[in-house]
Order: sequence, then structure tokens, then C-alpha cells
Amino acid sequence: MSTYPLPQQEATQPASPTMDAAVHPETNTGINSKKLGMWVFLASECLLFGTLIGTYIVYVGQSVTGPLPQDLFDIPLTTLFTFVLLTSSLTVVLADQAARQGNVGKLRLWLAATVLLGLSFLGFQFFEYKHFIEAGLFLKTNLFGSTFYVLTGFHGVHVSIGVIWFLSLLISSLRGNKRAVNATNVELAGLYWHFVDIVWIVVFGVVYLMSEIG
Amino acid sequence: MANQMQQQSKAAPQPVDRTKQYVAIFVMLGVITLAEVGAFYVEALESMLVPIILGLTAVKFLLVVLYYMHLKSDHRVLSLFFAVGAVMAIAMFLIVPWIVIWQYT
Repeated sequence: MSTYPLPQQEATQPASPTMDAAVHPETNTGINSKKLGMWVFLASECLLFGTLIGTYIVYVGQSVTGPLPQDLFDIPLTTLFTFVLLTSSLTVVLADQAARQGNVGKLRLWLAATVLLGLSFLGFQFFEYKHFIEAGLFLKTNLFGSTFYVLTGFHGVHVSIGVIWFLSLLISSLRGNKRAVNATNVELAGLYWHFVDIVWIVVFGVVYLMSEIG
Repeated sequence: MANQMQQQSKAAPQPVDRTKQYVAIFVMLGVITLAEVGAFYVEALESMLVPIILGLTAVKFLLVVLYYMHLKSDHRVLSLFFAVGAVMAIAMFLIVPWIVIWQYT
């Protein structure tokens, strides 16, 4: 099994505050600045998706013309692809662990799995949009169409960015770029991906499973 | 002796293998998702569907944030930042519908 030593300050970036204090570069906060920046970014993303989901909730059931959510949603298929995204969260956290351990073989395996699962999810979204458009639901058709496409479209863009990010990490790893593929960078990509996953957890519950309520 | 051990641990921190924990969390997420979908199809639960879905969604949200995003063991300042964002997002959920209802009634 091939391994390479990761840069010390970055490779040993740990989850535990005690270990963190021992190895991270000096900062005023005592926290790795990249990681702090990512969490501030994710907090701002909460507001973006909070607004989009809030808007969907306000207008659900207000559409005067069809098609409506209950006419279009395929819950078993959406459940399947929710599992795909949940599985990708597992592969990401395993990639993060492999990076901390300096196990480049496993790191590449889990990065590749994440990219494939992310692409599968995007394929599902493409298939779903195609089905909805064939059924006559466009962005301007009704309030459901506007709020649904904007919300899931923004989520899909985030998934696409995540796939590109993990693909770039995988390619850098295959090229042996030790500086680009270190534990901190994998952890940052992982935090972003898990956030995209929790947004989908909320979307699946509020938008899909509550569709009969509206 | 204790100091020596502490120094050794500082010199070469060994990442803990948490594979079993991560897989256990994944299984829990899967089971909760199936419970959500099950509740969706059970007619008797229709009147309670909203609290059931919101409750199970919150549990899944917390499992991912605490264990996969490491907030359970990470620096508390990070949890604080994220909590501020999440609380403001939840406030948005509550305020926006209230404004719309107030405007049209």
C-alpha cells in the first residue's frame, strides 16, 4: 500500500482541540485560519439556503395552476438518490481519515468514490428536471416551479462545485502533488460536502416528504 | 512518566481510526431516512407527519454536523459560528412566512 508523508503542519490537523493546540500554525484564535474561514462561509450558506427553503415553504400550496408537487414527485427514486448522497458523506469522511493517516491509496479510493456518487446525484437531478419539463413544469409555470427550481438548482450548483473540488484533489493526488492534497485541504472539501449533504437532508424532508401537506 | 508520555504524544499524534463509528452513523442515517419515508406512506400518521419529519430531519442534521463535520470534538468557536448561522436560518423560516401572512390578512 503506497503512502507518502504529508506536510507536517497540515497533515496532522486534528479534530481534537488538545492535539490542535500542539501542532497547528500560530494564529490569534488558536484555530487554523482556513478552517475558521470555511465555517464562517458555511454559516453564511445557512442563510442562503434558509431563505430559499423559507420561500418555498411560504409559496407551497399557493400555485393556481399545475403541475403540482404531488403530481410529479417520485418518492422511491428520490429516496434512492438521498441514499447516494448520504453514502457520499461516508466516503468523504473516510477520505478525510485516510488523509490524516497519510494513506494515499485509500485517500484516492474514497475521493474517486465521492466523485462518482456526486456525479450520480447530478444525473438524478438532470433526469428529474427532464421529467418535470416534459410534464410542463418550467421556471415560470407556477409558484411551485419557480421556488422548486431555484432551491434545487442552487443545491445542484453546490454539488457540482463539490464534485469539481474532489476531482481536482483526486487528480492532484494521482499526479503526486503532496502540497495540494494534504489533510487540511481534504477536510475543508469534506466540510463543504457535508454541508451540501445536510441541505439535502432538509430539502428531502421539507420539500419532498411534506409535498402532500401543501 | 506522565510528562514523558505527554511529550511523546505531542511529538507524534496518531490519528484515531474511527471507521466503525462513521459506518455506524451512516447506518443510523439510513434507518432514519427509511423511517421518514415509512411515515410518509402511513395514512394514520398523516396528521403528525410534519413534526415527525422535522424531528427526524433534525436528528439526521445533528448526526452529520456533530460526527462527520467533527463539531462534537472540535473547537467550540467553530460550533458557535455555525450555530449563529443555523439559528438565523431557522429565524428566517419563521419570520418570512409570518411577514407574508401578516401582509395578506
